Amino acid sequence: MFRLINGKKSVLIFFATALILGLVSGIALAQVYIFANDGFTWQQYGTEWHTVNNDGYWTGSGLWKFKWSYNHSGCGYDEEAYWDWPSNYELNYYGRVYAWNDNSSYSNMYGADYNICYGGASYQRCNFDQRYNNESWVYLGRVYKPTAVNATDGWSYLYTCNGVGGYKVEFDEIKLEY
Amino acid sequence: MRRTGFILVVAAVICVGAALAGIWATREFAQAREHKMQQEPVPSQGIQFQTNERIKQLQAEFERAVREEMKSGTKEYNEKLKQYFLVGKSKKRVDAISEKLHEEIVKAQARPPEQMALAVKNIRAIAGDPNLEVKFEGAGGNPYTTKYRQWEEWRGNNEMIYFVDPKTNRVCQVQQNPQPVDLSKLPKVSDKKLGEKEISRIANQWLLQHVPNFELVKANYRFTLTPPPEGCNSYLFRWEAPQKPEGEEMKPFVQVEVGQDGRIVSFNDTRPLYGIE
Repeated sequence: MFRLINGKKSVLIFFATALILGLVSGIALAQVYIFANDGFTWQQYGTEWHTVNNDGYWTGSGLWKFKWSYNHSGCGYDEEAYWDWPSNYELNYYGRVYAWNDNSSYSNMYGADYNICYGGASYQRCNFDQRYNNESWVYLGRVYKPTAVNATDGWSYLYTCNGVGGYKVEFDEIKLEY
Repeated sequence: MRRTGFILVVAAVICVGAALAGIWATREFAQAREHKMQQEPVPSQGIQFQTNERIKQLQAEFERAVREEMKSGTKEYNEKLKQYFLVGKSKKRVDAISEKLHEEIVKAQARPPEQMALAVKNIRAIAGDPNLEVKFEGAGGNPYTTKYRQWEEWRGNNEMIYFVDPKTNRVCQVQQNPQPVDLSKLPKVSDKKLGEKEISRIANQWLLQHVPNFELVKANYRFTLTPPPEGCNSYLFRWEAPQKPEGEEMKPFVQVEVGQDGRIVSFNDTRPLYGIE
């Protein structure tokens, strides 16, 4: 191989190839990072997460994804998500929280468990039947000064400790409107 | 030979450097994009909240009560939500102020009674119940249009919520109440299964009756029918505009979900929010 490199032209070609390959590999790895859903307001806990690329709410950009988990039967939960926004989003007024419900085969949980934290001292529990209102923004609640949203793969307060399992719980975009 | 080796080492270093630069640049881009995505739902700075002296006074009272109670009142750490929340008397105090505040904001956002009566009339028609009791729960930005436009929240005593465009009084979304008071009233689709043809007939008939210019929608919008996925029991009939209005992120759409037993379980017509008749 070394014998092949015996002139300035070959060296330049080698450099250029190395540079291009390096850049391409860098971007490819970084795309995996993008799909890992590492946004600054998103936190996730648990180990049984499933991600579907190119699905879920599309913001108009080229990359998007969708996350789901099988529900936890009985009391408690395994997977948990947080959308926790900075304080400059916390306007002193009533805000409505919406969750995108995608038209996919990965959401059929009728007792999805959501909680909206607000006012710095309280939270509101919500039940989200993910079988209905597909492909739309589903209203979760109206609270004064919302600060964060939490969702789990457990049963909501309406079906506490329900022993049924095997449902798919969707975790997609959350929207805040004043 | 030594020179060639040196060149190869330099090339390898550049190669690794380029890869790292690629990762860094794309990661920065990704984070900036995530940031943008999550900024988008935040309203523009130009929103004028409906307010008055009483609302301002209650807002100040709420802030003061939260501060005082979090400092010296009764609070409990919530393991699930990973923060302290007020409980007992402290919670009651803050909740009472919050309720008053909500009432005042709803009062300030209410339209003249004769206009609101038109909204109620349309909600009752959509619900198929001329005696349905509905309560106005205030207004806020709708989640569909990028351009800020409010819609109104109306709560039915059938545990359904109706969002209405105040400019046209048309119902834009129907869904279940996420905090139902009476679980037995939540709509339930029975085990009875009608054929797809019959379900389609029900959907079309219902839409013709309740959606203005539905024939135009059928002629010009892109139609999709999604049968119930595994574990679900409703058919989704959706008509989506061929393109997004300028500056908008979503295409206007009309859709209805019909349960396998023929029951209407949800409805959307976002056209009024875009000023489409």
